[in-house]
Amino acid sequence: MNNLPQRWMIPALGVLLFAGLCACIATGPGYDGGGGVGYVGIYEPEGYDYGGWGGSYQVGPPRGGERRPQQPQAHAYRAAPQTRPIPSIPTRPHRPPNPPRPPRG
Amino acid sequence: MRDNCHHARHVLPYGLCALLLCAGGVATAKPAPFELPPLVEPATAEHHVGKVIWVDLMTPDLAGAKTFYGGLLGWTFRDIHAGKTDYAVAYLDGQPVGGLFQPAARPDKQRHPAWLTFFAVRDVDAAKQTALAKGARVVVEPKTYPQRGRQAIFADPEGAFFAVLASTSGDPSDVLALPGDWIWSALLTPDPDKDAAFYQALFAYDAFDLPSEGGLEHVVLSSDDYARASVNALPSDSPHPHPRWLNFVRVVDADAAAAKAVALGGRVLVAPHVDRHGEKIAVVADPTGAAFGLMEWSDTDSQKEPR
Repeated sequence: MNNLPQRWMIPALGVLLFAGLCACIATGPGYDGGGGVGYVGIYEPEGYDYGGWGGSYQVGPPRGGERRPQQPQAHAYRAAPQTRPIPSIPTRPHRPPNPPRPPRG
Repeated sequence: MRDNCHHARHVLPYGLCALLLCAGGVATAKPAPFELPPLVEPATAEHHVGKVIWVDLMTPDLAGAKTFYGGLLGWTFRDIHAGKTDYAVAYLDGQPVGGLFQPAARPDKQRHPAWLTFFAVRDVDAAKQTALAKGARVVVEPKTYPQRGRQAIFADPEGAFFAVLASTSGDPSDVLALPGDWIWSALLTPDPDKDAAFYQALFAYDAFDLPSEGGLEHVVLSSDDYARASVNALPSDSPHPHPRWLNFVRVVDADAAAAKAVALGGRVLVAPHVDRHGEKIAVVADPTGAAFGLMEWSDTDSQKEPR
């Protein structure tokens, strides 16, 4: 009778250990592999400001059809031919969602 | 002594069973995968290399970010929690438009949160080889998320962070962004010429040098005959010439959106003003400092589609 608690103690501990291990493992590494080290590097340095943007500082997309002056300059990149108009962003409207199908019969 | 042996004979089988159970458990238990939703549902065969197809916000305050972006842009969210990761997918009109990610580790005080820009590629590993050959460095190695695709994060030769993604469900169609969705991305860099060449090599862009007032270089990058992004010289008086990608959300009214951003705890970094296309843009920061742009674009001002 005295042995009964000890007989069940080891399997009970095993089951607890098993459950604990599963709980630890099944949570998985997550999006950043667990440590998040790589992603923290993506945070930007403090101190940058955008105050230098004057009225002539333009970043937006062209509307399309705009042409460039015929004075090609040397660049590190391959510039598109001067005769080619600058394209715009996609402007085709979204397709409306499909209407629900009428019930059969 | 005899008692001890008797005792051991009884206990040993149970102990062995427990050990076997543990070993089996360890062998069979697999990590719960971090499941990101597909980029496009239903899946398509469309691929638009070089198109900005996703953005992730790295933030130390996921709950605060959801309140801010939900209030400002009408996004709704679906939470994903796995391991130490807290992530929320942002939806607009039922379509995923970005992710909000709270990494386990917090940034030090010298850094602040940022949006990370994802470009479409067909082959992440090939893109990695090209990026490395052209002077980039790997920030996060290529990794596959079953429903989303394979992605990796790099720093370009000037140090701006960006990501590439080969979507398993195809890329979003080339349609005009809805108000509240991302419409444009601009790289601000000390060396636009060099950076434009780098991204052209990586994504096979066509590059258009635009005339700009004040001599600041402005290069438009296109693929599939659509403008995808621009590369801009940082203003010469910029006190901290740190290169970065800046993404713009389409809004109906940039003034109103900027005011609302402030009311929700954000800041205006560049006040609304008229840009190249004749409508207003602004740059704002969310309450934790992550910068993004606001851009008006009216349907009626769009040029006729080129095809």
